[in-house]
Formats: sequence, C-alpha cells, structure tokens
Amino acid sequence: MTHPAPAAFVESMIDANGVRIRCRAAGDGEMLVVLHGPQEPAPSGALGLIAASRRVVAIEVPQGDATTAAAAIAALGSARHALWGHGAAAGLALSVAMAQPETVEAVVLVAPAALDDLAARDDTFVPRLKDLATPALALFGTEDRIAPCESAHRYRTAMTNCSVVMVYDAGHAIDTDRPEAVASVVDDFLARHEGFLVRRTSGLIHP
Amino acid sequence: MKASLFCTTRYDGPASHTVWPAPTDTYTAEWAEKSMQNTLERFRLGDEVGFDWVTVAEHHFAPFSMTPNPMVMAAALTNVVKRAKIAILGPDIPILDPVRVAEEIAMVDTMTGGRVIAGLMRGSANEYVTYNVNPAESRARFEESLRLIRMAWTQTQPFGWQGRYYEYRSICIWPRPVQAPHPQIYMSTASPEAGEFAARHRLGAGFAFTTVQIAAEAAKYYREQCRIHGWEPEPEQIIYRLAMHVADTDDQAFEEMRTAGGALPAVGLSFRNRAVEQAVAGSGYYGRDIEGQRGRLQTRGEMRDRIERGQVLVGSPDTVLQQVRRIRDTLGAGVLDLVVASQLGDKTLRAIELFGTKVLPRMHEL
Repeated sequence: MTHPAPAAFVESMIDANGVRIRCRAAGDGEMLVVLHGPQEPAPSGALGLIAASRRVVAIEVPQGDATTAAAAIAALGSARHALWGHGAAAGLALSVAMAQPETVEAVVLVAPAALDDLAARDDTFVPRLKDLATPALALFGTEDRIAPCESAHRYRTAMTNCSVVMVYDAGHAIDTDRPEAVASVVDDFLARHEGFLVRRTSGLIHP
Repeated sequence: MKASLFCTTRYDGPASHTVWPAPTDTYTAEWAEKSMQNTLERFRLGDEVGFDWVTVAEHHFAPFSMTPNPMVMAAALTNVVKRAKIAILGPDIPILDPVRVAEEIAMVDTMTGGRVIAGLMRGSANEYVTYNVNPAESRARFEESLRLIRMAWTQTQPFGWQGRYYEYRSICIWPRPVQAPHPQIYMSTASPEAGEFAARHRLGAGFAFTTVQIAAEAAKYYREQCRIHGWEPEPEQIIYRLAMHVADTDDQAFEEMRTAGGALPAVGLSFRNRAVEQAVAGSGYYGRDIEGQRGRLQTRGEMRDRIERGQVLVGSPDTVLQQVRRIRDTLGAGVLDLVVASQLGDKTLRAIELFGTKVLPRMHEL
C-alpha cells in the first residue's frame, strides 16, 4: 500500500479576541481544525498525511479554554469544519462542538482522556453529550495506559453518534506511532462519516 | 496432572501419508464417514473414562487429520462430550479471520457452559499454502490476531480495529464466551519468540511433536520470561503433546504400536512437501532459532528411542505411568495431550479405556 508524502506545515499567528494564537497549516480543501495545548511538538505524521487531501490547521489554545478556541476557529474564516482533539484536548473539541454544533461537521477524538475533567468542571456536560448529533470518531491505542482501550466504551455510550476504533500497537501518541493507520481511518471517516463503516475499496484481484 | 485425549480424525482408509497436499484419488466417502464416527466414539469413551480434556486441531489437505475446521468438530463434540473440557488446539489464526475465530470459540464455550480451552496457533509451515497467506508475516499476523480475538471477547461496545494486517470497522460479537473474562488461552511456545510473547500476555504454553528435553529447555525459557513479567504459570498452563498406546501388557502394547506404524507418521506434515517447507523456512517463518525449530520436527526413530525422548507413551498402565512421571519430572507439564493411534480399531478404544481407568486416577495424584 502506498501513501502520499506528508504535507509540510507552515506556521503563522492569528488573533483570537485579542489573544495571539500560534497556528500551523498545511494542505488544501475542507478544513480539519486540530486543537492542542501550548508547547505541543510539530503536527504528527498522521496529520501530514491527512493534509494531502484536506486543509489541516493546528491551533495552540491556552489550556482548556473553549472560548478562545472558538474565537480562533472563527478567525480562520471557515463556516464548517471538522475538529481533532488529542488527549485532554479531546475535551476541548467536544466543548467547541457542543457550543457550535452548526459549524462542526465531525469530531475526531484521539486517545481521549477528557470525560472525567469535563464532568469535574460541569456535572451536566457529560449527560448533555447525548444531545450532540455530530458524528464522532474516537481512536484508542492498544498500548496506551493514559487513555486505555478499556475506557473506550465510555465515549461510545456517552455520545449518540460515536464510533470507536482501536489502533493496534499504538501508545498514547497514536498518530505518531501509526501515522498511516490513523490517517487512513480518519480520512475515510471525515469523507463519509457513519458511512465509513462500509468498505468501499475493491477486493478485486485480477480484472 | 491432567490428560487430554487427542483424536486427529485420521482417514482410516488407504491414503498417502508421505506427500502434502495428499491427493484424494483413493478417497471414499464410506471410509471418511467411518473415520469421523470412530473419532466421535473415541471422544465419547474418553469423556466417559475420565479424560480431563479432549483435543481437536486444525490441519488441511491431509488424511492425517480431517478437521480443517476444528470448530466444527468441537461443536459436534458438545453433543458427545458431556463432562471433559473441549480443547481447541487450535485454529491456525494467522490464516483465518480473527473475528470469526472469536465468534466460533465463544459459540462452543456457550454450548458447553464454559468448557472450552482456546489454543491459538500459528499452524505448521505447510498450512500457509492452504489459504495463500505469506508465511513471512505469520508471527506478526499471529500476535495481532490474538490481541484482536481477546479484545473481541472482552469489549462490550462495538469497536473497530485499525491493525497492521487486519482492519474492521465494527465488531461486537454474539455470543460472548461464558468464561470470564475469556477462555484460558494457550499457544505453542517452542520458539524463543513465542515464549516471550506468551509470557508478556500471560498465556499458557504448549509443546507438540518435539522431545521432552527440547520442550524442557523451551519451558525453562518461558518460565524465566514469565518471571520477568511478574507471574508464575500454573502447572496446568503447560501442555505437552505426544503419542500414546496402552495395552494390558508391555509386550502387547509394543506389538500393537508396531502394527500401527508407530502412531506418529514417519515425517511430520511440514516435511511431506520439501519444496514448500524450504520456501517457508526461507521466508523467516521459523524465527531466530531456525535450526532448532526445523530439527525438532524431524526427530524420529525406533520406538525405544522415542519413549526415551518422551515422544510416545507405550506399555502397560504401570509402565506408562512411569513414563508420565519422567515427563513430569523433566518438563513440569501439568497437562499431557495424548494422540492415540487411530488405525488400531478396538485396540485404540481399549487403550483409551485402560489409560482412563488405570493410569489417569494415579496421574491425577501426581
């Protein structure tokens, strides 16, 4: 199986309600907004591969600040986009999706470790997740001890429309450990949402 | 110690036992049906006389064993074997669909109220031709498949799997296994890589068609690895497979075994097609101990030598018990998986009965 070369990310700064936000972007097309905390390393290999078929914009958001995140996304000028949140930032992605469901077409939660934090901050948040109709994909690494596969069922049951996928032989940095595997399933999910459950690649061997 | 009765469902009619795949030009449905019925009868008797487990296994394209899908035989046994555990040792998981394996084992576990032992195997070298799977990927496929099967048994919500060799978008099996969290898993741990993997994932160890000395070395390594991973396997977590024939006297048992051609074929399945075996060996299938792994599969010889090497139990009940003791002392296996000589008709049944009534009760005290 061949994969396209990862796209190169270009760094810039954007203004979100007076807050200067670092932003790294690559690719063209429909937008995937990657929310992450300060001091995150460069976007992963998986995001580089995803940027081969869509625009990927990674924005650095002060810890758990959903208001600034929403303002930064607005500053990108996109009317509709998908969100990606890794680890604790998965909670941020869910908060933005809950606040602005009309602009968020899909949510990708990568090794999410967010429900307990969200519940601690607002005990109505997790019950309200049931009302979120936005398609969600939650990825768990089989070797991850921070967000273990055993916690996957919590995301599946907390949301109405959440697909869980285990990524074999990946730790907490799933998208760094298995970039091709992550890019492939995320590409498919973003393109087809729940329809991604049905295989569309051909099994034909000799035409 | 415990004992499992392993009937391979050998085709008892005339057939070639020296080539693989074996042609079916001498095959008759009558012999095949009779052989299948013989197997069911032997398992029924084994259950009745107290065998702790009965064993079924996967082999293809050979009259040595007509259970290409051991799950089908295991399902049939749920109507015949009412007490003993059914040890599926096992499906060759790198050449199969892991989700299907998880589903089938869960079915048999449910049908038996939780009496399944799950041996998840790589299969012998030749089996990679069967469903056209690259043997170079055997170990990696095995490891991934095993992890996926275990997850299919334990997850209670639908999940997808983004593996290296397997990809599924949604898995949620019905039925689930009765045994919680899942049936005890065993794998073949003849090679060092396998011993390391089994230890890391807390799996039972199996040694088949080898010698007790070679198995003892491999078992020592497996136990060391278990210690590194912070656990100690129970005696029952080590299975040793060998051939068995018991008669009323030593002379009678030896003579009958000779008639049967030694119960084990002169050449293992892997070596009945040299070209296939060499191509598989060249693929890296055997791992880092290639000479040792190929060598153990070619250890044949005279009956006395084979008894000495712990490849076969032959004799009167008292003699066989001594041979069992020696295997326990050398290897520390808690379960012997005993392949009976299929072609001896009533004498095979007698061997099963004698072992169950005269050897097993004393073996249980060891």
